[in-house]
Amino acid sequence: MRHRISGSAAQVAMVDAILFMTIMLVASAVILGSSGYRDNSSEDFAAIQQYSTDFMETLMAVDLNQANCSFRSVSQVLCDECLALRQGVTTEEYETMNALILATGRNLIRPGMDFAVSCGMGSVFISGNAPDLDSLPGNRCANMMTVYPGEGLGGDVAITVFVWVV
Amino acid sequence: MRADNIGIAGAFEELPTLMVVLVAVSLFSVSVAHAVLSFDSTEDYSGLREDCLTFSGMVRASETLSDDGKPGVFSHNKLQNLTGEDFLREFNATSLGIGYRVSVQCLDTGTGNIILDWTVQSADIPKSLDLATFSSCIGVDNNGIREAARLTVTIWRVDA
Repeated sequence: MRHRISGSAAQVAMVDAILFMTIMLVASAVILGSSGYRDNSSEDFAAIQQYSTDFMETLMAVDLNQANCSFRSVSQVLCDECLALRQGVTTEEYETMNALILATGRNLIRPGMDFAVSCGMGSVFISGNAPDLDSLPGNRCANMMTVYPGEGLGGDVAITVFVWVV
Repeated sequence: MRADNIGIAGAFEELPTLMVVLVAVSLFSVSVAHAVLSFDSTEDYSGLREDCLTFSGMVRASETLSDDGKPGVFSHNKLQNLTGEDFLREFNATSLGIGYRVSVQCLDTGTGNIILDWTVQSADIPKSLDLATFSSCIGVDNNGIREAARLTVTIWRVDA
């Protein structure tokens, strides 16, 4: 009788041990799984934000070679185009310059990223893949600058550059 | 004193149980140790990436590479004539506690061709250490005409 009781106690202990091991295995799996996950999203966003700022500053200051061999910066060209649009004037010259700005940006931007330029609240929109402002991806970074056009030419012209990871 | 065999039998029956518990505790200990070591390396790498961003900002503001000291605008003439020693003197790798590689690729923005490739490296890149890289854009002043370039900074830790 006593022998049977002793055997039963050992079996209960083994069941407890297996239960304990199961809990330990689950806990180990949770710990290993969480340690393998590296959350770099905030650092990645900071790096992309910094890159987009540098990209905008660089692109807007690049001097474009015009047909008459004079040079104007991208921001000046965009500002002039916006002012022309405000006065209801559109010329083919600006279409050529917009294509030049797009080519310049594409050559400059890091592989794996894309960009768009919006000027005058979307009246001028330059992008290779997005047809308009509404179709820009949600994970974009935006940087804005304003250009003072001069006395009597209306308010400042706002230029926004969007950058995103493709 | 009892003359039965309950105690002896009990001890032998509990040996497998003890083994199972020992294995479970060992597994858990190993996983915790692995997690702690992994957390340390993650923290180190995050710090390295932050340092890379900071160092990239320092390079952008380098007076050795610009004419008028304006951050983010390098001089094409200086890039052509500057030796690696001048740059290494301004950014001493030993005092910074990092090794680095800085590359500037001046572009023909119309065609995308690289018209000037300038690279400086403080030491050979170690194969066994973590590297952090940040790519950026900078303006290049070429005789009054503003061009653009890609700036790529790679850093790694060095022993003090």
